[in-house]
Amino acid sequence: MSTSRIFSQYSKLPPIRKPHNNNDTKRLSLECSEGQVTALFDLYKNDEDCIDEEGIVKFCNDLGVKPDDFIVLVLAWKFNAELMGRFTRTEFVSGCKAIQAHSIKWIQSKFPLLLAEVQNRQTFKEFYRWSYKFCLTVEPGQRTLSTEVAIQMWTIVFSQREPPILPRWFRFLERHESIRGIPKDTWDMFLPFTEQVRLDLTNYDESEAWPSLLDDFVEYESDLHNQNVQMQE
Amino acid sequence: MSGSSRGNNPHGLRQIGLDQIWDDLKSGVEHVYERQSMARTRYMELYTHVYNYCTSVHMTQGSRSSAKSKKGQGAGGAQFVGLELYKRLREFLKNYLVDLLQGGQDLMDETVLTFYTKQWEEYQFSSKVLDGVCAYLNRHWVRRECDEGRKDIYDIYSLALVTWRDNLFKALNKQVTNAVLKLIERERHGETINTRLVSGVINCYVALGLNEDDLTAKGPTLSVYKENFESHFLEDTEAFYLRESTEFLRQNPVTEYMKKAEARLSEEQRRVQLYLHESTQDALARVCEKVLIEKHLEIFHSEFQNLLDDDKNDDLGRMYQLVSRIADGLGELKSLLEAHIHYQGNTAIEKCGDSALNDPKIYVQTILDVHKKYNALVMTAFNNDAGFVAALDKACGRFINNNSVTKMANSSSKSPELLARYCDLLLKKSSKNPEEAELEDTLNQVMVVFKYIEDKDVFQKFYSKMLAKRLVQHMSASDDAEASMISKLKQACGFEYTSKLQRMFQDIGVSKDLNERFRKHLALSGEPLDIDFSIQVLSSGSWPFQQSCEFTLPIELERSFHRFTTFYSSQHSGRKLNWLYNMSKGEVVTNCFKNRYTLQASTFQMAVLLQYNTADNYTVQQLQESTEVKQDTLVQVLQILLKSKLLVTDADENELLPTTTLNLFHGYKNKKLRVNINIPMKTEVKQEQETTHKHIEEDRKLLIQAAIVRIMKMRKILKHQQLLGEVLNQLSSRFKPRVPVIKKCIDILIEKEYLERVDGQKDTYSYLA
Repeated sequence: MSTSRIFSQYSKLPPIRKPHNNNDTKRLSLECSEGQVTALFDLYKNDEDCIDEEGIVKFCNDLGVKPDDFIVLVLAWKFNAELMGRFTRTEFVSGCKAIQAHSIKWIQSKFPLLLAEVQNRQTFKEFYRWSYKFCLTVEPGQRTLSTEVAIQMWTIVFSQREPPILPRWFRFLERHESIRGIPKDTWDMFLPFTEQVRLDLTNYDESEAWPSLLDDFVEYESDLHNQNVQMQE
Repeated sequence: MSGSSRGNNPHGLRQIGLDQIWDDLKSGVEHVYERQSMARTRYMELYTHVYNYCTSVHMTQGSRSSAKSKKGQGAGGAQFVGLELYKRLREFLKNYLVDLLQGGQDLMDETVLTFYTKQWEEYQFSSKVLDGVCAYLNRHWVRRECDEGRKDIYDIYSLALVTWRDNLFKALNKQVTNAVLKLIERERHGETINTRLVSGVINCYVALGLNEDDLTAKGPTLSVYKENFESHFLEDTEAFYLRESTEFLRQNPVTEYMKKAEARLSEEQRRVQLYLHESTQDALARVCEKVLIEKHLEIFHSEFQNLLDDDKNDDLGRMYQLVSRIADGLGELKSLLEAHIHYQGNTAIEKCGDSALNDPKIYVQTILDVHKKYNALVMTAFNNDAGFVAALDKACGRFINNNSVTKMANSSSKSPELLARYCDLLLKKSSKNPEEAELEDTLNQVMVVFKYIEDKDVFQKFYSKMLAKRLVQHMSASDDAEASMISKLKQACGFEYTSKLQRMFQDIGVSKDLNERFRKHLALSGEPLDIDFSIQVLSSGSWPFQQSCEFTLPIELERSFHRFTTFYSSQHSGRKLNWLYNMSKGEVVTNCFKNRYTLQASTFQMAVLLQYNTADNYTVQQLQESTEVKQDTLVQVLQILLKSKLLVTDADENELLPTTTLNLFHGYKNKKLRVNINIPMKTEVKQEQETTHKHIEEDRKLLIQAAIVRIMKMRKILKHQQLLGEVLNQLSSRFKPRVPVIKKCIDILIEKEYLERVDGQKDTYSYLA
């Protein structure tokens, strides 16, 4: 987990150990915050001892953010949430411990840190890939994300740093109703696509191992471009 | 060193002083060199002089003569004497030649050649004689000197040559060589020359190239020849032909030039054979080719295209012969040929226009004509050169698979489809079936085109469809021809390609037996059927027929249906029979018209007509209900019946509504008494073609996926490009998969979790077991 990286900056703080680690001296301070975290959890839980969608809305409200804000997704990722729209007790508690926060104010204060963490390229890649699987959990048994939902997810995931190609990509997806959803591989490969391919798409090589939907996109864009050029002539 | 003539002679040998013999010997040698004939006795005298001298022993010289030899080895055994004689002979030769030179120094051209060659011949002859006279000297003293390493002692003949070289040759060779070159130039201009003058000089130069380091080495070194003649000759030749070829090309067409070049090349070849040394052959050929051909390659290349356009086969052959002598010269010609054939093929098909799209015969014949023409060209003019054969193949591969017809149809699969239809025409029974030999020939030609087809799987699908129809309708012109074609396909594509076709054949044979047995069964049962009935049972896996549709069998046919079904199940329990009504047919006899007609009709048609046994008119709706034939199919059936004038209607034939009434036309007439109304429906045909193509696409996707899985299973990890390559390779014998389709299949397999991308290397895949 990426916890160790955060805590390198906070050398004064004791590192959080997993529950099965025996380190009694440090336990005391942890137990204090754990109590507070548990109390926090209880504020939002429902009858089945989880925070459901309603709880999440409240939680977000208190945090001063919207449920579809980027930071909320990051939180879910940090919390290792299994299903979208739900936090279990374990997830919430260990998640708060992981980010070293035990109250709303504390969580809020961690926001800049989390945002910075996820800017790191490798970390963002993991987060990005995780987002797809996470989003699928909305509908059990679903294997592919629908185009509509994928677009929403992309919007959230890229809200901090939008790749310039994104609007054109969305336009392509919206104009082609025949596209039946976005498979995981295409989602995953879209990220390196934004990183490696120039905005004018001139260095795209369709004989390389890009997913075929990206081939179609580039072809569509270049057709459009040619049409425009012709019309100008 | 002239020892005392009489003196110590303890051994009793005669001591011969050189002076004693020299005068006589000298005059004898002069005699030899004056080319006067010599009596044998005189020859022997001279020989004996030498012998005596050489064998004479000079005691005082004994030690000194051995001291004379540079190596200073003591002479063990016989003492050889000879230096003095040798020196005097050498002196003689030198003087002789210097004198001789006077007579020739100021000569030029032919005269110097005449002089030189004559003198040389005579000198050679005389020197041989002298050599013989001095044989003893050669064999003993000279040999010992050489063995001891002295470099400037030769046998007398070689001494003569060396002396000639150092005196006469040195002085005259420039004039002589120039004269020879002038002569050769005159001969090139067409004059007849005295070639003996040239060959004499050449022989001399060759002979003078002694290997001085090792006289026992075989043959001359040609160093003199090469330095003093060959190099100048080659330079001269190059300049001459450079001038001539450039001038000629300025004033003459290339075709004429090629003839001249050809002639010049063989002329030079003959020249070497006639009077130059054979070692010059290769170097001369290289020089000539460089100047006559290589220098003008660009002109050749542009002319090549003209020759192709005008079909000048002889000139093309000539150009091939010339250009093939130049390394890599043919590359450009091959490309030009390929482009030309491709263009010709495409243009020929374009010329056929729209008709080729639907007339397989025109299409295939056009292709074959182009292929035949250029195949002949490659075989004759280009000597069946592998590179040109490859150019032909490449060009044919391109224009056969991609031409105006395939563009019109918007599908590269049109070509194999048309080829299959052509086969159908050939193999179907018709009014003008060719002879067996001719048919076999044509089928072989079909295979020629087949070889170039990329989408062989399309051909197979169409071929098998048409074969199925032919078999089921008993329309094959010749069973032998059918079998022959299948074996040709098997040879070209392997067993799997033709296995279904063979099964179809088998099924027909089995059905024949089956019919026999059924007839016997009926006969034995004592309850014959009231109609003539025969059946074909086809194993569903091998035949390309689709399942039949809804249908109510006419009552008249029900009994046959039941009898046969019972019979068959008793023979083969557990097998299910699916009746293909849409492919069945029969004959109906009319009793309601003026004449008694026999109508050959499809089963659907019969079902409709038999309704009219009970009434004169029906609506479309009623007919649909009683026959249960699908609406659109029924409409087409009715339209054909209307066209054949058996039924009539007041409504528009092209717009039959369920309420339209169709009446039996009692006034039906036809010239023939047997009428075939079972003509195929147009839309059925077109629809079939479209479904076939769609099936092919789907089949291909599956084949590609299967290939990918197979490859990845074996390789475990593979890069994207390599995977593409291997897929193309594996499937190339069936069809050429397009890269976008392969990529889509890869995507599908990733989603199905057969493969995954290797993390960090976006273009490497690994197999997921």
